[in-house]
Amino acid sequence: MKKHSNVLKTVLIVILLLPLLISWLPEKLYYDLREEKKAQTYPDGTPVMIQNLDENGDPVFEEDGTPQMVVSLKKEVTVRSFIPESLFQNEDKSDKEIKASYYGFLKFMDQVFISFRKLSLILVSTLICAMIFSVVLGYLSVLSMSAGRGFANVLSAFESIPSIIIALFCYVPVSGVLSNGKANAASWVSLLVFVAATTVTVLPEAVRSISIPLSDLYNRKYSVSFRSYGFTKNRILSVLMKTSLMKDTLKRVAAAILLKTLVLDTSFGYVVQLGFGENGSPQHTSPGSLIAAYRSAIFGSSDYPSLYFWIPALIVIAISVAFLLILGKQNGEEA
Amino acid sequence: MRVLRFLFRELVIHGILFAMIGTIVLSSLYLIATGEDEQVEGRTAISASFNENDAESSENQSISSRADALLSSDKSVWERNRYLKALKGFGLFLTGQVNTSRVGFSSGAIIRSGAAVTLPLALIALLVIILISVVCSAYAVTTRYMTLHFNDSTSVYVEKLINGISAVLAAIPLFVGLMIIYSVAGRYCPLPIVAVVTVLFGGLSWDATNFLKTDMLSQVGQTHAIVFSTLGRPLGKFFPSQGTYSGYIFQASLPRYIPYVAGKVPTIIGSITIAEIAFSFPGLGKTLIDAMKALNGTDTLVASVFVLLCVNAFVSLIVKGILFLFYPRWYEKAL
Repeated sequence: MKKHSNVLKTVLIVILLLPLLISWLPEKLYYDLREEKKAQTYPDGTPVMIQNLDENGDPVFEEDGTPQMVVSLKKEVTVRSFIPESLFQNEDKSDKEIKASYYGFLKFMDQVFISFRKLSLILVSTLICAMIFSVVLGYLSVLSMSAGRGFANVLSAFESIPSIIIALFCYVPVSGVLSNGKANAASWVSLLVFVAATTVTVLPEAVRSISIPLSDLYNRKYSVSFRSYGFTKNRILSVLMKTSLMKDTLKRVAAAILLKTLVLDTSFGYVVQLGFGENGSPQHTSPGSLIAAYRSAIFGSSDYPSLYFWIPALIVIAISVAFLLILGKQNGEEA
Repeated sequence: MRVLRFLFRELVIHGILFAMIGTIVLSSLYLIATGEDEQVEGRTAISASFNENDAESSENQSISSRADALLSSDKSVWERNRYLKALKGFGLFLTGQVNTSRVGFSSGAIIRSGAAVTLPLALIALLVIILISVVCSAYAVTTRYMTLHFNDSTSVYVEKLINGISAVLAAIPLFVGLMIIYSVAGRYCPLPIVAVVTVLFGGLSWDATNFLKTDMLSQVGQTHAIVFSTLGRPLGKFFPSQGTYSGYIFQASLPRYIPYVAGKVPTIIGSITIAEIAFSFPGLGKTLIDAMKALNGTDTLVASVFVLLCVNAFVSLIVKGILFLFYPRWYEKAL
């Protein structure tokens, strides 16, 4: 029974995390908007002929001196999308309005995909970065007590500052690069500083979560017997790091890092969008900033349907539930 | 002597000194990142004015040298160097005469905004977290007790329902919760409601409840709790008041719960900052964003960071003071 519920939980977690994977699918699979030039025709089907003009706008003539005639072309936007246009049809709306709201929605969906793509990138980079630092610092803290005390003091200083303030102050370099007009560089700076800020804020708890069980294991009876055989502390700790208890601990720490990063990234995006408005960093396209940008959709003070607010919000909630489930699963297994 | 040592450690080192160093570090980061040197700006502006008045003059070099001379003669080192200028502003703020005319705030106004909005919000949020976690944990402990000893599982479903609701609320990001409340109650939502929403959404109360509940539940099967249960005292199902079964277990958990709450203070302050920005409350979070947005509001930025860190330190001092007064041994252990 427990095995079945574990399988169900795993399936549910995968389903809830699917939006992060889907966001990486090629855009053409869900949305392809292209401008094409098509021949203009009369109602009976005959093509409209117009005089050909050169690059300078002057008429082009044939060798016999008669004006050269070509088929008139008009720009047409063709859209291929999994969202049917009929969804936007309404008796009160004109064709133009229907087209505008349809294209508006496709543009919004594009923003949703981009923001979740960026979110997954931040989640993965922060996870890798924070896990490496946590394991190294946690290990060193147990290996050398004095180093551990030093790390604890530095990390507790970071922990005493609200994480959103750290993220905000890390945002400033991005605004500096942006003000210099280097948008491409700002994109990388944005990612780097955000990963650095998140790593700093998640490290204290992550290092504690690794060093406490590791030091408990080291002080247990069998570890004492290891010592009596003359194994070095470093050797014993490297063996202990491979135990199932430590592996479970690392999984739990990873889930906690992901959850914290998600919360910080979305909250930060929201604060930047709300606080700085249009001047906010366009390089930090977080789902949080998307939710903030379309917040008027639920206040009824804009033309946007409330879906514009709820789609990114519900996806963020789903991802958050998935991380909570992973955390709960790890805690349950440990209990 | 111990009281003096406590005051020195918590008030002087973790309070005043930490707030000052934190302010200097964060402000330096801001100044390094915002790039543009004021001296260069000033020189450019002066050169421009010279060009207007002296249109006939074509010797740009001499204009530049005159501008330099003007700058160096009129402004002292404290005015020309941005870092020293910010340091001077910080010093003036500490003496209550900050020069913030550019942004329109005085030191008194910044402190008042912190005292009138941020501090009350943080204290109410702290009380709500404690209340929710204490009530839910007391209910969970008495439910476990009744199930274990009397095979009475009537409250188990209610407890599961409460767990489910709190987990769902925890999965909803704080800013989404704030937006929903904003759409219902408008921007003039009372402070206590904002504090409750801040605590309920985003997992602050869920985390605190889980921590306390796990600690209290682990004691239900222990000898001291079993012995106490034989005394025939009331259960204290909804609140762990003194003399009740849940009250007794709660007292045993307090030495671990208080340091946990103290560690959560920065998170509470961070959440309050987000709430202030969402509701446009004139608190420290809003002031900080306004100062960052103004880009030239370095004095206001320095002042609001300092006051924010002071509020953080003050709330932490209250919690640690309680731990020191009632559980001095645990306070020493928590260091």
